[in-house]
Amino acid sequence: MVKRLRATSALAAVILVASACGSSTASPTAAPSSAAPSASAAASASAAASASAPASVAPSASPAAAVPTVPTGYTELDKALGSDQPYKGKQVDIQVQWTGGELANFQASLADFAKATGITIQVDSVPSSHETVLKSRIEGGSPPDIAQLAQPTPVLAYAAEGKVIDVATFMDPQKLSKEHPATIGLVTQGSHIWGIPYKADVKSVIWYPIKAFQAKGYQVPTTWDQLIALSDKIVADGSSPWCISAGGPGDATGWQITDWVEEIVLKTKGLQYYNDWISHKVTFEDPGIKDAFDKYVGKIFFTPNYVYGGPQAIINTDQKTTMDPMFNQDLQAPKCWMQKVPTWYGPDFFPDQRASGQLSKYVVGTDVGIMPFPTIDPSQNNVEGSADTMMVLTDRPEVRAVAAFLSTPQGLQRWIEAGSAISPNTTTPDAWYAGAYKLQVAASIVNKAAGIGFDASDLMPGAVGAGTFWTQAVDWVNNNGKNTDAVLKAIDASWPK
Amino acid sequence: MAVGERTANPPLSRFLLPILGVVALGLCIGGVIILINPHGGQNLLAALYDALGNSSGATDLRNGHGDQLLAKVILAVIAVGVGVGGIWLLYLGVGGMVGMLRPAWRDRILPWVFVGPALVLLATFLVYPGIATVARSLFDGQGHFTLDNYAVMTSPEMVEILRNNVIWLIAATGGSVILGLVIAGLFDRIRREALAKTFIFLPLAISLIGASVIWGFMYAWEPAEQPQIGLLNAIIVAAGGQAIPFFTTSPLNIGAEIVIMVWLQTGFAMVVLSAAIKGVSTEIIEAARLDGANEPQLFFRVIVPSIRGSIVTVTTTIAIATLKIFDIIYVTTGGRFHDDVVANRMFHEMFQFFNDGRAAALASLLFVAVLPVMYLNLRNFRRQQVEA
Amino acid sequence: MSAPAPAVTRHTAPVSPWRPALLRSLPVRISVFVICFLWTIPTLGLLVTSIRNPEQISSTGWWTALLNPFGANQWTLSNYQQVIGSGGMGAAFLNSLIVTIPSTVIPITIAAFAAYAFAWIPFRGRGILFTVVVGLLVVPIQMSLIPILKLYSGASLYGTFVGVWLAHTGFGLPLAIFLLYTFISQLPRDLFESAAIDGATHLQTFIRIVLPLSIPALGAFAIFQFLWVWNDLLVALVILGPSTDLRVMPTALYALLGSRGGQWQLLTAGAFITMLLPLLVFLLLQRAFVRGILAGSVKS
Repeated sequence: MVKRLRATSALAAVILVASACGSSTASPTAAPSSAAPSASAAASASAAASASAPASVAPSASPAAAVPTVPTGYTELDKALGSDQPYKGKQVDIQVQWTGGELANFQASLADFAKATGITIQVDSVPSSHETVLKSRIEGGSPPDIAQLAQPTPVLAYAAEGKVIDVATFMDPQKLSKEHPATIGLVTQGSHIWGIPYKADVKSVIWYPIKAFQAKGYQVPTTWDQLIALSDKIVADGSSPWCISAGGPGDATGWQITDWVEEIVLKTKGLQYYNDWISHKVTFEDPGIKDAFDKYVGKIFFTPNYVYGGPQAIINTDQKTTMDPMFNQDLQAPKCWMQKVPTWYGPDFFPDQRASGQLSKYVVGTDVGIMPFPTIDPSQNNVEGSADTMMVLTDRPEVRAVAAFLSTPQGLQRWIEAGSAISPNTTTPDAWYAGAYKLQVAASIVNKAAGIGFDASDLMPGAVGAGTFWTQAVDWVNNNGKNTDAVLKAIDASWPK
Repeated sequence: MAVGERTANPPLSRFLLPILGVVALGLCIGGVIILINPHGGQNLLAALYDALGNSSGATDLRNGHGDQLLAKVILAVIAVGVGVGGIWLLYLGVGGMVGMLRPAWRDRILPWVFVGPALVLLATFLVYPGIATVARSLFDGQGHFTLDNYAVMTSPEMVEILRNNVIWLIAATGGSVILGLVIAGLFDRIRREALAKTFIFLPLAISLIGASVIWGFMYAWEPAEQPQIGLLNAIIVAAGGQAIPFFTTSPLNIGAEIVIMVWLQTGFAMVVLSAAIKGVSTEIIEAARLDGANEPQLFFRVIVPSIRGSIVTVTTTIAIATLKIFDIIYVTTGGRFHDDVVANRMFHEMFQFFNDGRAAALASLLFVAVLPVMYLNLRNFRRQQVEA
Repeated sequence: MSAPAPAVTRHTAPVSPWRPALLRSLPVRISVFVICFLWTIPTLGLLVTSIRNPEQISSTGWWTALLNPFGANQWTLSNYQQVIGSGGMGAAFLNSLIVTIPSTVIPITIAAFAAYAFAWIPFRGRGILFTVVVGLLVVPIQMSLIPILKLYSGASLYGTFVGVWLAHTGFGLPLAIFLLYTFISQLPRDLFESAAIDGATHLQTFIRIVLPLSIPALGAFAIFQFLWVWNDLLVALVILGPSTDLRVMPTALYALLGSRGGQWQLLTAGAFITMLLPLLVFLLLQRAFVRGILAGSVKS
């Protein structure tokens, strides 16, 4: 119908995946020493033992309310938690893109605080069109009090327009920076802090079928050469080593390719080079970036039989179903063996859970495991991640109190205990993570890392990071990697002057 | 159609209408007050409960419990009453009042009573944003005048986008109008016309997200090792061919998306044109038939010229919808495979790249692009009015 | 100017005049059947998918279920149960009605009055105004949202039903006026001349002559506006805001999917449920189209 087409549908299931990609985030420094085994193979083994109750609330879940103890170090938060409940009956509105289980976990994390302070916290869940609705509300003058954003770029863009409250004006910046050492820099400009890092994820991981690996005698590779050797062996054994999707369908197509390139750049050229690349001091046409495309990503993507379905499958496979061939015959005979995708992937995307909405029968840590992405240059063992930010948009005492609460470990406690969130706050007690395989692996990867790089495409200007970097990378795959020079040149040309 | 009857009772309507107008105004204001309050439904029902002595029910409601659904139903009734009844009463009331004025004044004011509400709403919801958009496109982020936002229009990427829009304009508009016309003509000749039309209309009722799922199942591509779950590729493979990734193969993907648009829009064209065909007078047709015209001749030489006005309207409407085409691209490929179009790029610039100036420039470009279409239309209208 | 009064003719000949019995021949019937079939294939796919077992949806084509209709574990209504059983659907349905019905009737009413004035009441500036009105068809809705919200924040219309009605009315008016003008301007001039001679006011002429004769056009536009508002997600989200109390059907459906779109098979069932009411409306209004008295161009 004519008029419907006028509409916009920032709808589309597509977007849901896109936003999920955004929200995949990396954990910097969480859980410093929790069960960090020395090798990831060992990690899977030890975790397998403790993974009998995968997503259940960890036994250590404190019966005590998940609220920080006074004094917290933040004025309004202390007041809010005072016995006289000065903010009782006030309402604070938070807009997030989480829904379903994530939304439930987020609300659980707020519940005790709301009860203790009498503040009503209204969570507006906008699973699709989150960015569109948020931008309209902010620019239209009816913003939510606090908004969650998966990328730091829009936070800084809103800040530049003067729409964001500088949290350093009401929260001790030293304390905030000390507790979030790896992530606060993403939203800091000089003395201004434009948001609170809330939740984190690790991107430098590869998912694989543990039991099938054992049955075939495959070793978890720790170096690039071992990874290639394993891939060749799997090809020789008659199947494809890799399940790869560019992240699609539709508008989301491309983010996975950029993740691959970023991973390689971090692991071959190091953090300084990586950050210079983000600021365009290093161009895309630089040999280091070209090598990442041609020598490494291209090697995996275009070597015959490496990718299930061939290079064409990369851009045509739905991110949701990418790993389905791995589950062939109940994971006994995988048709593909490895997928590089962030820690949030399983079990939400396992085929049975996707179909039924019930918790998958495949246990993360027993049936399907996570290995760290192998090192390439041993001196450059950097990992990639990103963090969800809480951006404060109105300045009222009760909003300040809620914002300060979200910066404390207790602000994420119930979600951590549910086994699927990592706090960027270093004061988070290790005990909260007990029993969660995924989080342990992530923590061990982070602990051994030389440095942490944040998703480069999220930090580049939008026209590149969500635009040409994606479309040109897709073009590159569509041409079987034959047009690297033209692609890199086009990305450089699109960099805003 | 005895028009004379209608003037038989002017005194009654003269007094009734103004009174109705006042009542309508009161009702509308009351209803709007309830509807603007976020808890209007609950509060109203709570007040009712209080009046009926059910104070516990009232308290429950005010605290966000109790008969929430009933409150919603009451709200719905008020909404429909205010929205539907109010607007009519308002027109009748004001129209009646103006009717009591002296003829000279009446003739001057009445047209504005008729078009006024439309103009006010249009000014608020489209003219003001439109002007704001054009203005925004001429300034950079710091508020300085610039034409940079238009300078990018010459980049190869933008040239490709403009080319795609032209392809869309011709193929999608032409396809929908021609198919809609043929279907309207054909279906007019069968007994179960209403049923048949329902099938063509069906796509219009499907939400966009539903449509994207449906066409996903038409165009889906799977690796050769797997069974094809897309109908078209299943047919291709069964016939011995190789599966084609429709959405990611340029320029085939543009065609694949246009097919979706035609599938959706043909129903619109059919409904409007079919209504027009019903209005072609019997005499003309019978006369042509007596002259020995066969059925195709009848259709193309008599019917089609008779409904020319409607065809122009439908073509214009679909052409403008096509120029603004956004959501089909957005949900299928996101325009990431050399199939981007102006409106989709505008959306990206606005909400993902935070490039409001460039988004505004693209919107202004659409406006300019549509001017010739509007010009042709107006010429057509003028000619019709001369002929009429 | 001797346009016949086709109203009379149509009443006596409910069957289309150029439909000779002889020609309701086989080729016509076959092509009608083929067209209907082709057009329905995608929708059929949606229907079949919505009652398939979710695990099979992404592994085999939907038509395989039709080829093997008695296969074990093949059919399920669980998708529908999940959509309907989830909380808040009843309220969302009512909210959708609250949004949709006034958002359909208000623009039609306003547009019909305006179209009549543009077509039959001479007044200064008519041509230019009409050009501007129709030219507004092209303003992209995405660019309008932020300026409108700015106005709404000042007038406390943000997050209200009235705000959504007005927005949908504003966005729908250009097409409504354009379509209705096309029909109303083509009514035979004699009707208006004789009404004027009889002393009828414009208001009377409009209500007693123009409206009844414009039923097909009004019906057609009503359908389109109803569908657009009913299926709209963006305007509802932006202007009603994301509050759960004010959720309409499309918003509620999206909330079911899970933030990673894992539950997307619910979309097929949801899409079908949301289709039912518009389809019913179309079937009811269908009569208006067929009985259509006088529309399109009437020329001699």
